[in-house]
Amino acid sequence: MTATVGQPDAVVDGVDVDAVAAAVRACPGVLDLTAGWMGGRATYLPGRRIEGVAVDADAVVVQVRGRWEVTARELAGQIRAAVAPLAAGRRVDVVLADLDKPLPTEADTRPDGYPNPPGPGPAARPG
Amino acid sequence: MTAMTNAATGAPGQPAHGELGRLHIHDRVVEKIAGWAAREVAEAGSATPRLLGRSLPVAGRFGIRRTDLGAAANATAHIQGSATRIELSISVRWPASIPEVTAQVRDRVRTRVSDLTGLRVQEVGIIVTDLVTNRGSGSRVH
Repeated sequence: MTATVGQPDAVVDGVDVDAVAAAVRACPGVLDLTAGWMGGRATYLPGRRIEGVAVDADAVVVQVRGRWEVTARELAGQIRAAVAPLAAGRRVDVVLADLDKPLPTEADTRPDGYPNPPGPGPAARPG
Repeated sequence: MTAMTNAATGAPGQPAHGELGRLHIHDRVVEKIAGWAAREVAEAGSATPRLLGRSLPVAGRFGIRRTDLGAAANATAHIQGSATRIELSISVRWPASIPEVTAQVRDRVRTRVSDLTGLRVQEVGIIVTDLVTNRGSGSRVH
Protein backbone atom coordinates (compact mmCIF):
# COMPACT_ATOMS: atom_id res chain seq x y z
CA MET A 1 0.00 0.00 0.00
CA THR A 2 2.94 2.32 -0.24
CA ALA A 3 4.11 4.23 -3.26
CA THR A 4 7.07 2.57 -4.88
CA VAL A 5 10.27 4.54 -5.30
CA GLY A 6 10.98 5.43 -8.90
CA GLN A 7 7.34 5.32 -9.95
CA PRO A 8 4.86 8.12 -10.06
CA ASP A 9 3.50 8.99 -6.64
CA ALA A 10 0.00 7.74 -7.19
CA VAL A 11 0.81 4.15 -8.15
CA VAL A 12 -0.20 1.75 -5.40
CA ASP A 13 0.53 -1.94 -5.97
CA GLY A 14 0.43 -1.47 -9.72
CA VAL A 15 -2.74 0.61 -9.75
CA ASP A 16 -2.48 4.26 -10.74
CA VAL A 17 -4.87 5.76 -8.24
CA ASP A 18 -4.96 9.15 -9.98
CA ALA A 19 -5.94 7.48 -13.22
CA VAL A 20 -8.64 5.48 -11.43
CA ALA A 21 -10.01 8.64 -9.83
CA ALA A 22 -10.06 10.44 -13.18
CA ALA A 23 -11.75 7.50 -14.88
CA VAL A 24 -14.42 7.32 -12.19
CA ARG A 25 -15.09 11.06 -12.31
CA ALA A 26 -15.53 10.80 -16.08
CA CYS A 27 -18.42 8.35 -15.68
CA PRO A 28 -21.70 10.08 -16.52
CA GLY A 29 -23.50 8.64 -13.51
CA VAL A 30 -20.89 9.80 -11.03
CA LEU A 31 -21.09 13.16 -9.37
CA ASP A 32 -17.84 12.85 -7.48
CA LEU A 33 -15.72 10.56 -5.39
CA THR A 34 -16.31 10.74 -1.68
CA ALA A 35 -14.64 9.42 1.41
CA GLY A 36 -18.06 9.19 2.97
CA TRP A 37 -18.62 9.07 6.67
CA MET A 38 -17.04 6.74 9.15
CA GLY A 39 -15.26 3.87 7.49
CA GLY A 40 -14.93 5.79 4.25
CA ARG A 41 -12.14 4.83 1.93
CA ALA A 42 -9.21 6.92 0.77
CA THR A 43 -5.68 6.44 -0.50
CA TYR A 44 -2.98 8.15 1.50
CA LEU A 45 -0.02 9.34 -0.51
CA PRO A 46 2.98 11.44 0.44
CA GLY A 47 1.57 14.89 1.06
CA ARG A 48 -1.93 14.23 -0.18
CA ARG A 49 -4.94 12.00 0.00
CA ILE A 50 -7.22 10.72 -2.73
CA GLU A 51 -10.68 10.28 -1.28
CA GLY A 52 -12.99 7.54 -2.41
CA VAL A 53 -10.40 5.24 -3.97
CA ALA A 54 -8.64 2.47 -2.10
CA VAL A 55 -6.51 -0.40 -3.36
CA ASP A 56 -7.01 -3.59 -1.36
CA ALA A 57 -5.21 -6.90 -1.80
CA ASP A 58 -7.83 -8.27 -4.16
CA ALA A 59 -9.99 -5.30 -5.07
CA VAL A 60 -10.00 -1.67 -6.07
CA VAL A 61 -12.68 0.00 -3.97
CA VAL A 62 -14.35 3.07 -5.41
CA GLN A 63 -16.73 5.12 -3.28
CA VAL A 64 -18.91 7.65 -5.06
CA ARG A 65 -21.79 10.06 -4.93
CA GLY A 66 -24.17 9.06 -7.71
CA ARG A 67 -26.67 11.02 -9.73
CA TRP A 68 -30.32 10.65 -8.85
CA GLU A 69 -31.59 9.33 -12.16
CA VAL A 70 -28.93 6.63 -12.60
CA THR A 71 -29.64 3.18 -11.24
CA ALA A 72 -27.08 1.65 -8.93
CA ARG A 73 -26.57 -1.23 -11.31
CA GLU A 74 -25.94 1.07 -14.24
CA LEU A 75 -23.59 3.18 -12.18
CA ALA A 76 -21.62 0.11 -11.14
CA GLY A 77 -21.45 -0.98 -14.77
CA GLN A 78 -20.07 2.38 -15.86
CA ILE A 79 -17.47 2.43 -13.13
CA ARG A 80 -16.37 -1.15 -13.68
CA ALA A 81 -16.04 -0.62 -17.40
CA ALA A 82 -13.91 2.47 -16.77
CA VAL A 83 -11.77 1.13 -13.94
CA ALA A 84 -11.29 -2.53 -14.89
CA PRO A 85 -8.48 -1.80 -17.40
CA LEU A 86 -6.63 0.12 -14.68
CA ALA A 87 -7.20 -2.32 -11.85
CA ALA A 88 -4.27 -4.66 -12.55
CA GLY A 89 -6.48 -7.73 -12.47
CA ARG A 90 -8.26 -6.84 -9.26
CA ARG A 91 -11.97 -6.86 -8.63
CA VAL A 92 -13.66 -3.45 -8.81
CA ASP A 93 -15.92 -2.90 -5.81
CA VAL A 94 -18.31 0.03 -6.03
CA VAL A 95 -19.70 1.73 -2.96
CA LEU A 96 -22.66 4.02 -3.56
CA ALA A 97 -22.26 6.22 -0.54
CA ASP A 98 -24.43 9.19 -1.33
CA LEU A 99 -26.81 10.53 -3.91
CA ASP A 100 -27.38 13.82 -5.66
CA LYS A 101 -30.67 15.63 -5.34
CA PRO A 102 -33.25 14.84 -7.97
CA LEU A 103 -33.62 17.34 -10.78
CA PRO A 104 -36.24 19.97 -10.01
CA THR A 105 -38.80 18.76 -12.51
CA GLU A 106 -42.28 17.38 -12.03
CA ALA A 107 -42.36 17.58 -8.28
CA ASP A 108 -41.46 21.28 -8.30
CA THR A 109 -43.72 22.35 -11.11
CA ARG A 110 -46.87 20.88 -9.65
CA PRO A 111 -49.11 23.31 -7.82
CA ASP A 112 -47.91 22.86 -4.32
CA GLY A 113 -50.31 21.35 -1.87
CA TYR A 114 -52.84 20.25 -4.45
CA PRO A 115 -53.85 16.64 -4.66
CA ASN A 116 -52.74 14.30 -7.39
CA PRO A 117 -55.07 14.32 -10.39
CA PRO A 118 -57.74 11.67 -10.20
CA GLY A 119 -57.34 8.59 -12.33
CA PRO A 120 -54.29 6.39 -12.60
CA GLY A 121 -52.19 6.27 -9.50
CA PRO A 122 -48.44 6.71 -9.20
CA ALA A 123 -47.81 3.35 -10.84
CA ALA A 124 -48.96 4.77 -14.16
CA ARG A 125 -46.49 7.66 -14.09
CA PRO A 126 -43.45 7.24 -16.29
CA GLY A 127 -40.91 7.97 -13.59
CA MET B 1 -36.19 6.78 -15.76
CA THR B 2 -36.55 3.09 -15.09
CA ALA B 3 -35.09 0.10 -16.88
CA MET B 4 -31.93 1.83 -17.96
CA THR B 5 -29.62 -1.06 -17.26
CA ASN B 6 -28.66 -1.50 -20.88
CA ALA B 7 -28.49 2.14 -21.85
CA ALA B 8 -25.47 4.23 -22.57
CA THR B 9 -22.83 2.41 -20.60
CA GLY B 10 -20.64 2.53 -23.68
CA ALA B 11 -17.73 0.14 -23.57
CA PRO B 12 -18.22 -2.97 -25.65
CA GLY B 13 -17.32 -6.16 -23.87
CA GLN B 14 -18.31 -4.70 -20.55
CA PRO B 15 -18.06 -7.39 -17.87
CA ALA B 16 -21.19 -8.86 -16.38
CA HIS B 17 -22.39 -7.30 -13.15
CA GLY B 18 -21.48 -9.05 -9.98
CA GLU B 19 -18.66 -11.09 -11.42
CA LEU B 20 -15.85 -8.58 -11.30
CA GLY B 21 -16.78 -6.70 -8.20
CA ARG B 22 -19.28 -5.96 -5.55
CA LEU B 23 -21.79 -3.18 -5.23
CA HIS B 24 -22.46 -1.74 -1.80
CA ILE B 25 -25.26 0.72 -1.25
CA HIS B 26 -25.30 2.75 1.92
CA ASP B 27 -28.41 3.10 4.02
CA ARG B 28 -28.25 6.81 3.48
CA VAL B 29 -28.78 6.43 -0.26
CA VAL B 30 -31.94 4.41 0.30
CA GLU B 31 -33.10 6.95 2.87
CA LYS B 32 -32.69 9.80 0.40
CA ILE B 33 -34.49 7.94 -2.37
CA ALA B 34 -37.36 7.08 -0.02
CA GLY B 35 -37.63 10.65 1.24
CA TRP B 36 -37.72 12.12 -2.23
CA ALA B 37 -40.07 9.44 -3.49
CA ALA B 38 -42.53 10.34 -0.74
CA ARG B 39 -42.26 13.98 -1.79
CA GLU B 40 -43.34 13.03 -5.28
CA VAL B 41 -46.76 12.25 -3.91
CA ALA B 42 -48.40 15.66 -3.92
CA GLU B 43 -50.36 15.12 -0.73
CA ALA B 44 -47.41 13.92 1.33
CA GLY B 45 -44.39 15.79 2.57
CA SER B 46 -41.92 16.16 5.36
CA ALA B 47 -42.96 16.40 8.98
CA THR B 48 -41.29 17.97 11.94
CA PRO B 49 -39.53 15.38 14.04
CA ARG B 50 -41.51 14.27 17.05
CA LEU B 51 -39.95 13.86 20.42
CA LEU B 52 -41.48 10.45 20.94
CA GLY B 53 -41.53 9.42 17.28
CA ARG B 54 -39.62 6.36 16.32
CA SER B 55 -37.69 8.25 13.65
CA LEU B 56 -36.03 10.54 16.17
CA PRO B 57 -32.64 8.79 16.34
CA VAL B 58 -31.76 9.83 12.80
CA ALA B 59 -33.45 13.21 12.80
CA GLY B 60 -30.23 14.99 13.70
CA ARG B 61 -28.53 13.75 10.59
CA PHE B 62 -31.03 15.56 8.45
CA GLY B 63 -31.30 18.70 10.48
CA ILE B 64 -34.51 19.95 11.97
CA ARG B 65 -37.35 19.63 9.51
CA ARG B 66 -40.41 21.71 9.12
CA THR B 67 -43.71 20.27 8.13
CA ASP B 68 -43.76 20.99 4.43
CA LEU B 69 -45.48 19.27 1.52
CA GLY B 70 -42.69 20.39 -0.78
CA ALA B 71 -39.83 18.90 1.22
CA ALA B 72 -38.44 15.40 1.28
CA ALA B 73 -39.71 13.22 4.09
CA ASN B 74 -37.56 11.85 6.84
CA ALA B 75 -36.65 8.22 6.25
CA THR B 76 -34.69 5.50 7.97
CA ALA B 77 -33.50 2.49 6.02
CA HIS B 78 -31.95 -0.78 7.09
CA ILE B 79 -30.28 -2.83 4.40
CA GLN B 80 -29.80 -6.52 5.00
CA GLY B 81 -28.30 -8.39 2.09
CA SER B 82 -30.34 -7.60 -0.98
CA ALA B 83 -33.39 -6.44 0.93
CA THR B 84 -34.25 -3.29 2.78
CA ARG B 85 -36.72 -2.12 5.36
CA ILE B 86 -37.72 1.54 5.31
CA GLU B 87 -39.45 3.73 7.84
CA LEU B 88 -40.87 7.07 6.82
CA SER B 89 -42.18 9.95 8.81
CA ILE B 90 -44.50 12.11 6.74
CA SER B 91 -47.08 14.83 6.85
CA VAL B 92 -50.34 14.58 4.93
CA ARG B 93 -52.37 17.37 3.37
CA TRP B 94 -55.61 18.04 5.15
CA PRO B 95 -58.22 16.69 4.41
CA ALA B 96 -56.78 13.99 2.18
CA SER B 97 -57.47 10.38 3.03
CA ILE B 98 -54.56 9.11 5.07
CA PRO B 99 -54.96 5.48 3.96
CA GLU B 100 -54.94 6.58 0.31
CA VAL B 101 -51.95 8.86 0.69
CA THR B 102 -49.92 6.32 2.62
CA ALA B 103 -50.78 3.66 0.05
CA GLN B 104 -49.54 5.99 -2.70
CA VAL B 105 -46.40 6.82 -0.77
CA ARG B 106 -45.70 3.18 -0.07
CA ASP B 107 -46.15 2.29 -3.71
CA ARG B 108 -43.97 5.15 -4.91
CA VAL B 109 -41.22 4.41 -2.41
CA ARG B 110 -41.16 0.74 -3.32
CA THR B 111 -40.99 1.53 -7.01
CA ARG B 112 -38.29 4.15 -6.70
CA VAL B 113 -36.07 2.24 -4.32
CA SER B 114 -36.25 -1.03 -6.21
CA ASP B 115 -35.78 0.69 -9.58
CA LEU B 116 -32.84 2.82 -8.55
CA THR B 117 -31.01 0.46 -6.21
CA GLY B 118 -32.12 -3.01 -7.26
CA LEU B 119 -32.82 -3.81 -3.61
CA ARG B 120 -35.94 -5.71 -2.64
CA VAL B 121 -38.15 -3.58 -0.45
CA GLN B 122 -39.40 -5.80 2.32
CA GLU B 123 -41.39 -3.30 4.25
CA VAL B 124 -42.29 0.37 4.16
CA GLY B 125 -43.42 1.58 7.54
CA ILE B 126 -45.10 4.98 7.50
CA ILE B 127 -45.77 7.20 10.47
CA VAL B 128 -48.01 10.18 9.82
CA THR B 129 -46.90 12.77 12.31
CA ASP B 130 -48.58 15.90 11.02
CA LEU B 131 -51.34 17.33 8.87
CA VAL B 132 -50.90 20.31 6.56
CA THR B 133 -53.51 22.78 5.43
CA ASN B 134 -52.63 24.08 2.00
CA ARG B 135 -54.10 27.53 2.49
CA GLY B 136 -52.81 30.32 4.63
CA SER B 137 -54.67 31.37 7.73
CA GLY B 138 -56.52 34.08 5.77
CA SER B 139 -58.80 31.64 3.98
CA ARG B 140 -59.87 29.81 7.08
CA VAL B 141 -63.63 29.62 7.50
CA HIS B 142 -65.22 28.56 10.73
